[in-house]
Amino acid sequence: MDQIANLDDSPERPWPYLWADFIEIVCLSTLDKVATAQTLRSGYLGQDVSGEDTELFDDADLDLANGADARPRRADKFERLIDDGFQHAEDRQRQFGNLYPFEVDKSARRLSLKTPLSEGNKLYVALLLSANHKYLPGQQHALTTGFEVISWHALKALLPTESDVRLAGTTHANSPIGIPSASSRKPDKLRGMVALARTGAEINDAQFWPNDTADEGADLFAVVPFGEPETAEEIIVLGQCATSNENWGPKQNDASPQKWAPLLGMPVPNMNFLFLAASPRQYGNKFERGVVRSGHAVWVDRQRILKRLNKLVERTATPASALMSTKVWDLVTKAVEASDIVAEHPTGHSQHTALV
Amino acid sequence: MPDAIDAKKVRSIAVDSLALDPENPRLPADRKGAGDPSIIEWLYENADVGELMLSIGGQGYFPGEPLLVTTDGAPAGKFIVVEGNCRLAATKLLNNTGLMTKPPKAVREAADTATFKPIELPCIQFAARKDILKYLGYRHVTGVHPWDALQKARYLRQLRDLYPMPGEQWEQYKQLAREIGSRADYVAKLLTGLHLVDLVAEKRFFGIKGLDEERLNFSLLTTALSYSSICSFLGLENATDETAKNLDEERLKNLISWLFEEHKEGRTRLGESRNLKTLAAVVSHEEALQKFTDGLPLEEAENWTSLPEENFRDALSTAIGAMQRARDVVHRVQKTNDADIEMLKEMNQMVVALHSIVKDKRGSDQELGVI
Repeated sequence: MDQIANLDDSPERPWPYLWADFIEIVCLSTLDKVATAQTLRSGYLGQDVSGEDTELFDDADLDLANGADARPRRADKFERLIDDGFQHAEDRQRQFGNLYPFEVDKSARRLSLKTPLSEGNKLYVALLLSANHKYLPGQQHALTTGFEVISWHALKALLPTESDVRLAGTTHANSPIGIPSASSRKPDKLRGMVALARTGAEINDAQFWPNDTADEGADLFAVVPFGEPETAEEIIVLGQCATSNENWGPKQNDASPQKWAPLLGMPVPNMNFLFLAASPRQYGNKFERGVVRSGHAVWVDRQRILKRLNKLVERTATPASALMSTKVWDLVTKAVEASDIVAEHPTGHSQHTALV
Repeated sequence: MPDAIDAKKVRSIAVDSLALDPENPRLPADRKGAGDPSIIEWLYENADVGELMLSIGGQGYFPGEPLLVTTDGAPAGKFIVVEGNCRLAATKLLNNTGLMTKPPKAVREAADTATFKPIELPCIQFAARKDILKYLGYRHVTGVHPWDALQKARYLRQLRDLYPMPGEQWEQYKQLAREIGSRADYVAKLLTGLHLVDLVAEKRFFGIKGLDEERLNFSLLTTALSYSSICSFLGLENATDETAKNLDEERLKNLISWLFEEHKEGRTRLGESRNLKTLAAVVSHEEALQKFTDGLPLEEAENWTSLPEENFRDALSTAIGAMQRARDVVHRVQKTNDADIEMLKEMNQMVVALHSIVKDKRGSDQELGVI
């Protein structure tokens, strides 16, 4: 399915960046590409709020014990969080500048898609969809692997031009920018990395399961060469890509130097980058105070990816489509276009819903 | 609930004879009693009228959803539509876009391309407005066409005014709660909030630039009332003190300003709604309140409250809980990896660092022991 769906599955935490994303996704799901408080209230509020508890709406038991319906009070909470979301969207508009593809009128609680969209705006939409793949059933794999490609471009844009940047995931094994490897088995891929880093480390097959083809936790591998063939490379970057909008805590350690330096025999610790399709910021452009940072990973989130890639777009006139997979580009194109498809609206009214 | 709606009672009434409800709980106070054009403009901006124009214009009016009307309080020869105002507004606009002073392009296009422009609509007539009102609670408070918090509060007050209820005030709240399937404390809080909004409106929103009833986020105000310290600050006994006999108007002015007055970059002094907890802590500590009133940012004023200590202990408690969960499942984990070791090391380092800081603050020489 390539249609935005599951919109009754609103964020479970009160973090404004999650609610801003939710409003933006709802906006893309409508025919006229406009989300208002009314759209959100009438369409996606309280589809099933009297049963399951979530962290956010956690007081249903009290209602049920009183023979009451939790929906009215939950609706009020939803309204308040939506207001926070519109406010955060306005913050984003300021932080992202022209790269932000939406126009926000906070006092009217209205968010609409700009027209026409710049290449940078389309990149934003690609990252938004990647971080919210739960609203695109069946597209999780396409968006996850597609985000690795976008992250590859972002890492390449971050590092010096002579850097050798590779996609380390199994999906990209046969790609010219994948890790050169004798087979898809993990020890062979690690040998490929050792060769690129010229550390000379021995990889012992016995340490791995015979059929282990996983990526050991690194989606990206890069070398910034000193140009000395006789010495091991010392500037090594390992990156992990996370498309979920939250809960990426464990991924911060996947590319840590404590794990990788001994494995690949690196003479000095590698750099650990975490690429995030999400934009976990709060007012003042700091990272959201509720998220947990660990593993000493450098966070390259939506804002950082976008600003870096937009420089590339502007400098080289590279189209946004060249920075992502065909499938992701296809999803972006459909998301920003109006459609005549009419879907059944959850309230019972017919509503035009755009394909994405 | 009113009498069961009988399909036999459905009759067609000319659109021209149907008037929008000037007492519609959706409408802000400044639109109450206004004529159809003013109400239509407001409904178009704030409800689903545009979508309904497309739907009715494209597919016709669905006869299974008759309007609920009454002549009670209506001008001679007219019917007031108590339920179905958005659908009536959409139909009226399909027939005459000139009802809006400056009809937007979307309205003109919807009317121009409409296949159907009903001149009559199916209606069920009730003798009195109040006979319909009870039905609205299910539809718009608990049901699938929810009003916002302020609209719900207005509705509840109308219901109470039209149906004088016996018993003490709390008993009345319970009866109202039963009508909408909710709880008495929720009803009481909404009505207390509405009373405060009325006072604020009387005071012309304390001269706060840009603030009016539509821009005042009512659910934010009622959530603030959920904090006993904020109620005490205002002079309310609690969130259900609807009469607010001892209300401190100067403090109400302060609260409204902190919650709704926009400063640099459109931010209020509260910021996000989740900061209400901090505000509640600040207003309950004299020194913190003074600092905040003097202009110190909320997050800095928080330092003069006990909230940092509470948050610190909450965080420690949560951390212990999480560690206990990890300990309970570790024996079932088949594969561990180096990243697990890294996280444990990081936790270890944090514990050592936190212990050192706490030890220094307490002037204690108690060692952590072997980790």
